[in-house]
Amino acid sequence: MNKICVLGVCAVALVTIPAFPNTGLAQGKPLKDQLVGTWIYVSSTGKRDDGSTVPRPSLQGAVTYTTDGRFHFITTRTDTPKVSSSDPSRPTPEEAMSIASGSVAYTGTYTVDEVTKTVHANVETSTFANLVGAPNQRRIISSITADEMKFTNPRTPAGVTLEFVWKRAK
Amino acid sequence: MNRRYIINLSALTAVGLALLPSNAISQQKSLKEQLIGTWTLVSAAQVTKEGVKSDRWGPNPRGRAIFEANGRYSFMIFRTDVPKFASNNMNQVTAEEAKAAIQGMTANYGTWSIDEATKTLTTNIEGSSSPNLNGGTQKRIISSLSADELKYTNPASQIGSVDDVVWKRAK
Repeated sequence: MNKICVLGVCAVALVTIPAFPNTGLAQGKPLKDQLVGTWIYVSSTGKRDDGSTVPRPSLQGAVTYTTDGRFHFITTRTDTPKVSSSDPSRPTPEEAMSIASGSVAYTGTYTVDEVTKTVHANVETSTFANLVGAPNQRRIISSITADEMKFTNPRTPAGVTLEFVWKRAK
Repeated sequence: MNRRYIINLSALTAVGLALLPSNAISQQKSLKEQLIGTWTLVSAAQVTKEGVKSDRWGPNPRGRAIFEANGRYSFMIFRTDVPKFASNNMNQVTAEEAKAAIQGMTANYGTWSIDEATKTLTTNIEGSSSPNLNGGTQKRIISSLSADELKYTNPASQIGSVDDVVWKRAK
């Protein structure tokens, strides 16, 4: 570190060490510690095995990682029409279709593999019952800073690769 | 007052404060401070306008809530008796499967605050599995909150019934 002193007042000029090139991952705090907290959904893209893109609905959402190894994930469509019934917990089948497609919530436990930058998720409960206990649920973190995180779900149950962009909740 | 009197009074006060049992201070913890953390659902009983009582989310619901110190929360409750979808592709879910899944859960996230005087927990919902709740607020009255247990009522649920909900602190 370089110390610069002017008129008796000294400041320390920090020499920044470049982050690992091409990974977008800063040195210092373990990934596990950087991940903790709530992240707000920004955008996502989907790709099939043949390289074709999968259109993504307009979503809002949040994912929370706790220090004791639990996570919550909720994304919902921003354009889902309201349920018309006086009892919104009783949608018509068509309204339910609209809600169910593109919206998902699940929770469970997670661990972080610092070497492969992978979050391994064990889904305990989900809107999408097929996800519960599904093996090999991985989210590979491609970049993480104080304010933004990107991760890839290499394979959804429908065979799609999804990349998510998140911003840290304030 | 002379100086000696003031010093003695100060000394007495200091000694008096030091003798206060420490748990008297911890009992002063606000509801807000006590709510922060993660919770697991124990039960959710619903009583309709007609007085009919039932388990709102079926016999063995699974629910988890996180209340963060920065004022954010994430909350979800699921029935455990909803069958899996026949297809792993969400776009091939049938209308009946979707209806069963959606009616069998609630999930929302956003920010929370507590009115200590009225023991009211208010959630400002940013995103919800129920589109009717997006951007709305919900209020719940905390009936008890201890180190291990949280109980609240949802007196004005969407369908005019009263929900009594019990959570235990997740370890």
